[in-house]
Amino acid sequence: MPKSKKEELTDLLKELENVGDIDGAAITTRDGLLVASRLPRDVNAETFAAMSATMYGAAETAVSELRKGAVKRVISEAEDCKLVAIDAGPTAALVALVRPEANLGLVLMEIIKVANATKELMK
Amino acid sequence: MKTYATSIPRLDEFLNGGLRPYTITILWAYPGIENAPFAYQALMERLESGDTCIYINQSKMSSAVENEIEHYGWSIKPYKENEKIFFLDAYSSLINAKSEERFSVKNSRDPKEITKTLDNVFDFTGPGHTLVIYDSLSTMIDHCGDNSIDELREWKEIFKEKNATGIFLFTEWQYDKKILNKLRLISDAIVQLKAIEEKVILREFFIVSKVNWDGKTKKGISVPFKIAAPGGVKVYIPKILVTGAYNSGKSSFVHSASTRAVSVDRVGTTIALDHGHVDYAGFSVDLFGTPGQERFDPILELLGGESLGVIAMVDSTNPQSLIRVKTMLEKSKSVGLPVVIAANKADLEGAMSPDEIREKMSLPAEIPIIQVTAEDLSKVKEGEPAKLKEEQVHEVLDALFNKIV
Repeated sequence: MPKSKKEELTDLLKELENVGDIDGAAITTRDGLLVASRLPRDVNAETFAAMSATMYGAAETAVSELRKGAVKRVISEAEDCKLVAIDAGPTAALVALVRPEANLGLVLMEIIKVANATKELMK
Repeated sequence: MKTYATSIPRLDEFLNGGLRPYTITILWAYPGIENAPFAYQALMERLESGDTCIYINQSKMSSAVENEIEHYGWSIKPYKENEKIFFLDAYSSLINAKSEERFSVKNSRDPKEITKTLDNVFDFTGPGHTLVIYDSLSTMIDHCGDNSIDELREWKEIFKEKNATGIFLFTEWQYDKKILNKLRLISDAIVQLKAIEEKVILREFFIVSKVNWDGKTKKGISVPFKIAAPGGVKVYIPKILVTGAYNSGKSSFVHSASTRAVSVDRVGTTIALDHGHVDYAGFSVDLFGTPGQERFDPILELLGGESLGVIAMVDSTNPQSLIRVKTMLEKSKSVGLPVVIAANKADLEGAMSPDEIREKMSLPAEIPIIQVTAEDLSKVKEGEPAKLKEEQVHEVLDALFNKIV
């Protein structure tokens, strides 16, 4: 049986986990519904998706008020992790949980790769 | 006529109380959708009500069935010990394994032998009602040939004689049209399990497409569901929007209705989103509460998409909130969705009656207005979500759920 889109997207997220220094990731629609996730067990994926989409949307709104182009990504730095939310096409965003000590440049490259693959799949 | 409830939310209503004796109901799934949890849930409900059950397993080991049932948070062990559930193993011989069950068939490819063994099992079931689960018709057709489904007529006769009812699992692989038609004719009720992919969010839903007793098929009414482990089949509504003017009580509603809820708020007002999960009356629902102040309207536009229903909060003491909520419904792209008005603060001085609200908002009669109030006014604090009266919150949810499915 061919894989469903959801399985393909989950596979993409698994790839991201293999990069190292990434503890999990989720894909959410821009309006806050969970599409697919690979998150630590104690995380409520639905709430995480809704809040990440809101965070991304709020950043877009703030930037658009300034008329400074489109938002490429939102990075939230917390004590124990970095949260990277990135554009994955007009309907979705990809959010990754990155360890604070990670080499952000390297990790970002991989996240962008997966975001682009997600964009293709969601077409 | 006796009815046998399945405890699957909404399904029993469509079946007008539940399954009928001597009938065959097919759980008709499209590839990729699991139908077994529906059968397990009905099985547990019948066992708990004192019925006996016979599980004919032809597509997996009986131990696998038992493990799966446990995965959903139920246990058939005590019923096994009390001889209330019997497995009829029609699988082991397919893989040339020795059966560990008391009842098994030597040749799983022979439907006649299954019939005979089924008859034998009934010698041990006692006089009460028995639920027979057949897992699955697709395996039977694959291994016993197209004509094997004629055997169902035989089984119906046995059901009549022994006071039994059947639930049959079926997955629609690429079968000949003739077989599908035969199944449609031979069955007394069909519950179709389908899926649609919308922007890669897979939504699963069930439709009762046939009932030959006094149930309702209501063309086109589908019930979205998800299968929770533990918990079993739940009616699933991924998004209900809770919107309304500033200070009308949206966060209060989300927090009062939810089993768990989080908010993004500053100095007592929601600035981004309240998100809450509701488990109530067999429904699994996520509530999205919007900010109320106009300066956050871009967020409203952002979050409004793909809701299946709306709870519009109004402040009964504030006529301004009635105008504002109308704008908010438009901005959140909610016009045309099922909507229920929750008239909060209905017990405060100067509160408008539902009729006044209806007139001022020029609402059509089919939109319900339900009054809600705080559980304890003395505990209500400025800038904190108040606890609303539970029965009123449930009344609002019931009204909306009834409109959605």
